[in-house]
Amino acid sequence: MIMEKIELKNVDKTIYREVLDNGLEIIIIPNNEFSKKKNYYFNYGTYYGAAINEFVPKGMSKMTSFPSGIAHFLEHKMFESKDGIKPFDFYAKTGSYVNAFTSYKNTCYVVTGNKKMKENLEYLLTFVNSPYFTDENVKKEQGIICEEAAMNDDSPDYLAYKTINKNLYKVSPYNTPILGTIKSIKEITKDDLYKCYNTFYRPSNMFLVVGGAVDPDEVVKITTSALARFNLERDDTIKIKHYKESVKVVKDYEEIKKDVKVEKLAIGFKMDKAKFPIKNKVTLDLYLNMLVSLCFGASSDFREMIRKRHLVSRSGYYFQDVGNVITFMIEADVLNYPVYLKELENYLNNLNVLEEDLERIKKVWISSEVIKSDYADSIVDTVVDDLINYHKVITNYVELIKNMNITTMREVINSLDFSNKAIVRVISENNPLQND
Amino acid sequence: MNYVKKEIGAYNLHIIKTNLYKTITVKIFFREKALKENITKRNFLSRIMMLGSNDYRTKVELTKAEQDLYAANISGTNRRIGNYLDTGISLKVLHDKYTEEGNFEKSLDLLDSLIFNPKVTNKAFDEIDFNTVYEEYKADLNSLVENKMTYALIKGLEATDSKSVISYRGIGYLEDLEKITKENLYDYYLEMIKHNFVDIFVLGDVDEEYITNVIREKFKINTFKKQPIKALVEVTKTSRTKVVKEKTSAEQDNLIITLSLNNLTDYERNYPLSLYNAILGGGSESLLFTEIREKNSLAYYVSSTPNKLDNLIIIRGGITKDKSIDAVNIVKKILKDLEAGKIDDDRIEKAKEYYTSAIDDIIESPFQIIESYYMIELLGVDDIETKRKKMLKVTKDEIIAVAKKVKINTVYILEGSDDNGEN
Repeated sequence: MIMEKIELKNVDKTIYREVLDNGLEIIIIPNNEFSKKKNYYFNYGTYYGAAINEFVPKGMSKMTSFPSGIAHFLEHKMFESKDGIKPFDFYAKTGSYVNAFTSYKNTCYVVTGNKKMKENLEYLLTFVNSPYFTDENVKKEQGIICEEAAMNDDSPDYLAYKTINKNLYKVSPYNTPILGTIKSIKEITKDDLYKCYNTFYRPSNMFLVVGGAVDPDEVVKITTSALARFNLERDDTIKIKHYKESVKVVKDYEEIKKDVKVEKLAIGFKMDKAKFPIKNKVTLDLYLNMLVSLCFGASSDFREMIRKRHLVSRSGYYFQDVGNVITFMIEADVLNYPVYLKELENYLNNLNVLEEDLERIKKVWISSEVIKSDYADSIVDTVVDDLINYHKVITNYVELIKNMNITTMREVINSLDFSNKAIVRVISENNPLQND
Repeated sequence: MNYVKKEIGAYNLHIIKTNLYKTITVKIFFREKALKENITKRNFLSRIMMLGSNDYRTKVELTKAEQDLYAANISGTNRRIGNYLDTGISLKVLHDKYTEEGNFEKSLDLLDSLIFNPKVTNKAFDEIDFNTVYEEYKADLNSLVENKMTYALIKGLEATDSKSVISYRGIGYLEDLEKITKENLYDYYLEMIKHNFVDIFVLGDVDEEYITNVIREKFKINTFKKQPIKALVEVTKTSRTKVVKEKTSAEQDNLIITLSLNNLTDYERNYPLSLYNAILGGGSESLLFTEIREKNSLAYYVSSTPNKLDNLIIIRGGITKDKSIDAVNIVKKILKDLEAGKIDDDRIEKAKEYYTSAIDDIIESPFQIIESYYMIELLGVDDIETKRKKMLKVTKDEIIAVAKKVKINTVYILEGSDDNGEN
């Protein structure tokens, strides 16, 4: 078998790539020959997640909308089988681990183990290709998922996160939690599930990433024969509704009263993606992440200042990519809201970075790439993230990082627009004037 | 992998030579007898030590120094292991062959500075750092009640036995925080440095003699030799099951059930107990998960964990509002069945497979490797290969014998309700 073989530059790793006739893309990152490690990691995913809620179902012609949370519901239901054997039980037999995750963009099924690689891979490919939905098992799952939603709702951090997304996005499904709402979960039917399944769980819309103690040829062989039974054809025509989100937020301020001792704050600054100077998504993401690291990381003066002045007890900063908009998000436990907000806005409007700091973080990132190459699970995760975000594996991160420069960084900073924001505060119901 | 242990005066140096990693990992453990009043101080100390030292005056300076050492990473953790409080401070840094000569030694100097040269003047920690940690820590302690799962666990253990070490809150206590001053914190620091048991681990592609010399030179620890204490905690006795309920404003109930383990032998604790717990609630194929979640849809999560050294198994679950008693009844039935020997051989086999897979998983992380050797040092448990052999030989009768020694101690339910619990 001749597979595409790609060197991961500067980190002493080789990856193998194969696309089967049915369209499934397989990426394999084996351990180095001398490694004594026995673990292997499978990640079998589909480009279908909570943000894909309106599309033309396979075999139909009309754009159809589905209840929120159905991608996640479907993920739960894939653990049901006609013969009654649960994937959990199957994997337990070899002490292996199986789980699944749904995000806005994708759904992934993961297996980790160190015994019976062949059987475990075959079974993963089998159970994800064998949907079995009944009215009864759908009803049972509604109970479990409503408990999951209830568990989330009991967390004030989650409440702040859920509300900020609702107040930021008018049309994008990012405005609703991945789980959906109690109401939408209860609307999901067996037929809905089959429609979603048949549309998105097809090899040409899926990927398989395998890392660790495996032989690339063997993985391709096992996969080819395991999928042969399912009579899967290549089909690249999926019509999905694309949303155009306005840069204006839906609601710019909301207070929620809850039994909290420390105020939870979420802020989102919505920006037009077209205004950024970098059009290559990989490069843009690198610069935005670099910006977060430089301006809000542990080595930033801003963090030192808010810490020493006791403005927050913890805070996180990141960019969220939502189609045509990019949102700069902040989530924090706030000790002094008015002063923190004032200092933050002042800081955002005067962002500046130094070349020596940029160079230092580049060194850190390159070192981290080398460290990561020791961990098969981390490499698999990175490859999966690449596929989800860019639909390809990025093999030259070290080179891309080396090429980053202060001029481009400053251009990115100049293109940031902090004028459209939404704020959500979860504050104590006993003391609504806390900190003011 | 090649392991050697050296007794260097006040501490043990453990060197694990392996080429599995491009990094060198150093971890220093400090431990002492667990006293409730020291938990908060110890957490405070870890936090303040990670903020800087006399050589790195601010967190920014410290972070930049770590970054300059090719992303050297230093972190600290606190935990209780049976009757011990245990603090681990670790350094992970790329081997010099991937960076530059001398990078590892400079990283060790940084670690050394954080531990042995804290930012102290006039026998007191730096005031600004002290206040920063104080406020952040206070906010964390205040937020505790917001995480219903954690809160329920704390209350469930206190309901089991509020006097015993088993109920000590790992995160610390607000009332103890208020007693900490920058002066008495420094006294405690000296106490820790001088009187704790210390073990130092180094893992990586290293030369034994070189490591011995460099550690000896940099870490001049002079602790007084003391008699080790017993890590194992006495069993929390109970004549009848306690049931404690509390209301909170929440969408679901949080259920905690503690199970006492009476008169286990060391062998039972290290082997059949692990299998018993795996069958009961160890994973997504366990009895608790199958019966409570899959068959009755009463929960999204439910599981059990053995706190071996506490002679306790803890069952935790997020249960549908008002249905906790149903879940408790299912638990009782499961325990009774296990005691009566109603255990499928298949489940025992699965539990054994689970265990041997976990053993093979150890080499996937330098910290797991260090941890397994530390447990041998601290608890005198068998080495990995002996463990594998003994575990595979455990019989069904031995598991049933353990099942007969398991008794429900306390049922604690944090009931979700629409009202605020305080009203």
